[in-house]
Amino acid sequence: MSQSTLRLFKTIVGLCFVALSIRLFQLQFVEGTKWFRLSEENRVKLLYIRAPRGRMFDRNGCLLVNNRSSYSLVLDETSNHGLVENLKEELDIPLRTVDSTISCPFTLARDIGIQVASYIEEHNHELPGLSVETRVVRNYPYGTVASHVFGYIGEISKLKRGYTLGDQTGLTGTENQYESYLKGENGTEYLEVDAKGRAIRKLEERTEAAVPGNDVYLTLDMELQSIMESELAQYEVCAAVAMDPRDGSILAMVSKPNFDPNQVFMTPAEYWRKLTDSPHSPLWNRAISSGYPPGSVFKLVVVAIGLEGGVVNRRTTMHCGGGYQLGNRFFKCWDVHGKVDLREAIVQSCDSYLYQLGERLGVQRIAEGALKLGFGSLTGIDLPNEKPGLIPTTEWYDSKYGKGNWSRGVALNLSVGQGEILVTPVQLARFISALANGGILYRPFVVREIVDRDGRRLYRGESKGERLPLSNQTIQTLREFMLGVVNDELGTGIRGRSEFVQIGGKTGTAQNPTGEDHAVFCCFAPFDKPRIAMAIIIERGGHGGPVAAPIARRVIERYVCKKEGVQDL
Amino acid sequence: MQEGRRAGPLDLWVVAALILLLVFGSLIVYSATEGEYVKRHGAYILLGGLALLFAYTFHFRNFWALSYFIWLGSVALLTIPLLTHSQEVFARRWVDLGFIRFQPSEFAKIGLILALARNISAKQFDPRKLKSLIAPIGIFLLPFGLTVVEPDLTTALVFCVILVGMFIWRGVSLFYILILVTPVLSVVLSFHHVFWGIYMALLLVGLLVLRRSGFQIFSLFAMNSIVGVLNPILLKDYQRSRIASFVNPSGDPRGSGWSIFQSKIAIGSGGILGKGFMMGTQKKLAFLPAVHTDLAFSVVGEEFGFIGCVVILGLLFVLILRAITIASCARNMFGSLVALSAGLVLLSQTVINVGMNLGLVPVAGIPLPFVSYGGSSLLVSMALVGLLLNIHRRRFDY
Repeated sequence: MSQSTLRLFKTIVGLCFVALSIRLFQLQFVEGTKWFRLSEENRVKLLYIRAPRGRMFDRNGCLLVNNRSSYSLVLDETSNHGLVENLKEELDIPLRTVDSTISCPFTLARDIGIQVASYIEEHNHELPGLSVETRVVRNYPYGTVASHVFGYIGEISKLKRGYTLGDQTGLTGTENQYESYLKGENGTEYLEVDAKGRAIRKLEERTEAAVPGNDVYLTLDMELQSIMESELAQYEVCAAVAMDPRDGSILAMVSKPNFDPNQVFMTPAEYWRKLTDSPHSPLWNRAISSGYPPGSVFKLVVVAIGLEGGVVNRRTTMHCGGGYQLGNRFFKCWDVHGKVDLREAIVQSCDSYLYQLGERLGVQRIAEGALKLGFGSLTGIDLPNEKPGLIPTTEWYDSKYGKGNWSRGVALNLSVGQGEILVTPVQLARFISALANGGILYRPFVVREIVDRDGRRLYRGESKGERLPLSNQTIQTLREFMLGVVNDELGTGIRGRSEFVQIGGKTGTAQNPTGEDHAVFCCFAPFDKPRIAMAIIIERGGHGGPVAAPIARRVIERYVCKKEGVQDL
Repeated sequence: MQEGRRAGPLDLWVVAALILLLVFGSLIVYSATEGEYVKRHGAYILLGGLALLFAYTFHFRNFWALSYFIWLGSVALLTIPLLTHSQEVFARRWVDLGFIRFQPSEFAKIGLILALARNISAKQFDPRKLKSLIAPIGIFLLPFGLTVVEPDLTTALVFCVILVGMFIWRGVSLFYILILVTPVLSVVLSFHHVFWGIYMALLLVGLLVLRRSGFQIFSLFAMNSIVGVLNPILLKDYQRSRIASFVNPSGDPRGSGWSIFQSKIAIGSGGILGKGFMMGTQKKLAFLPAVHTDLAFSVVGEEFGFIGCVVILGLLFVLILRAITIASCARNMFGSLVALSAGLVLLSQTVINVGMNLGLVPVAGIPLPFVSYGGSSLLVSMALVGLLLNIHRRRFDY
């Protein structure tokens, strides 16, 4: 062995140790934090504690929407086909079919009820691979009542800030509109786990409790809502809005067909399929999203414009011979009224009078006036998916039919609320409210206030009214006419007359080219100090007077009179 | 002799490093097994101490005289598991006598070292003649082959290091050593086409730079090519997957790549000072498989940090360097080669084990000397230290 060989060996030994030390330095000094983070990720499993969603109450503090525990039956291993079959017979509940394509854990049945859940838990040892999973679900104790105001929730489809996978989010209605207040903040829990994922202990010091969602107090009066729904029970497709004319708050809102938000996302998805397959779109909130021709209710608008513009006054009379001839077209009235003044024109809903008034005003003046009175634009109600309806102006006709390529007759149609015009029930209710309260047009709203769990108010729903561009005299005139509609012997709304409370209203019949006409009725009560304004539209219901007016009367009697202390109905 | 007296009969560096390593190792085994195996580990240390004392006191000439018998005995031991055990992987590494279980490949190290040292140190051995290499290669091949068949490739690799180290020490020409070494490298690298290609290119360039003759270049190159092409047919699936997972650890998160990754996490997360004795989360929560044996070093890294690792490596470095120094001043070539081999065994085991823990080499089932739990390994490593001390004591005896 030579000195150079010795040096060679010592060098090799040295190099080996230098190499190992460099690597150590790299791992422990340079990349230390990264590896430490990885060791923490290894050791610590993050669990999310779902925040309970905020509740909803009506204006009287009655609980409308809350959360409850739901038990799901979950299959953890696929090997137990026979077991599931036996269970199906034993429990007599529908279970999802188990086949080779499923991946575990597999939910056999949702919301199995506490009895079934405890049965499974008790027989735990005989049912290997089966377990009961507890989830918190949204609970709508009133079922379909006011479902469009509440809306429904569903699992988030993609992860966004502030959410955890599997979180629920409001998809429609108040649930959607006030999502940020309702959702709460998920808590976190850290578990120390071993290499097999078994939890060793909870890291208490790092646990963050969930912050529950805030409670929403709606402007709804659940009593009125229920009354309205029960009075409308026999009609399959209809919409109704009741508003407090004093502040614009929505007292009740009905849209039918409705849905049960408890069941929207139930599995199997038959309910959802039923909802989406229905030709009447039960998920559609007709009260704010459907436009209807208002029919004769619109006469109030046209008369208001006529009075304001000085085109007519109370003493202006016109002749009704069962209709009005314009050029080579005859516009029919529903009756032969003879010589009528303005009041009679409204009370008896004479079309001929309005045709002549409409002819004098012309499309543009009617349209501009209607726009100023809050039609043709969003009311700004705090619910998603509101639609503005349509007020056809001359520009609109020009763009639709070509410039000047449309007849003057559209003004006549428009003046009786037929033709292309579309208004939403909530727009009608708002306009009637404004007449009832003396001329203040409120933005309708459904949320009165939002309060956190400690009672601090986070949000207050209010509406700044704006004055209608109508003189007090015009408004008083229209109010008086509306009283006549319901209370005069010849009034079209006579079926809405109440012996307990003075109601003012206006009937309408919206022509429906695809079937029977829609019945429309708008009203407010009590006449002197109005506390409720209402718009009711019954699709294919027929005439507003005989069909919709009595419904409104019963609703008002049951609601207002009880409040006034009149028990004897 | 005066100098000898000054140095004293006992190499205190070796003894001190050994004791510190054993103490540190016991702590690690205690931590890794939550105290469960520490008593047995202590018993193994005592047993190893006896082996050390025996190797230290036994007259060195007797080792020379008995070397071929010891070699024969160790080869016989190696055949036992092959004959008794089934095809079960890893089971054939063990001889089970009912009351005790041991790894014959560990003991084969001693047999191989003594027999090779005796043969290579002989006067007839001429490092310039290829003929002289035949006998030592024969002595090497038998235990090597049996160990490969077991299969315990890592220990077989240690055998290679012993053989090649002794040849170099004895002055065997570079060409012969290349003939021995390069085909093995070729086999290992041929798992990866690119690596193998680079290796072959480097080999060619190296040979040209060293101005080897055309015959040498051709023969070496041809040998390397042949084994490189044949290799995929000869290696077992799990061995291939181990190497594949080393090349691409993320491809097999729960396989052997997983344990390398977890051991890197353990060591890296230890940082400079470590998480503290018994506080390693990687170890505690079972993210590290075989944590008390092959991955013991990752516990050092996790719980004692960079400081602890450097201490362990430093102690091993002292031991190994002392072994080579002792080899260089041994009384005769036999002692010199034995001392050198002891150092090389410790070096190769340290580099492979720590390198594996650090993710530098593929997963290899080999313990870290003096630190890992395991009777056979501890016994043999301590016996090697005993031989080392023996050679050191007698370095001036004539």
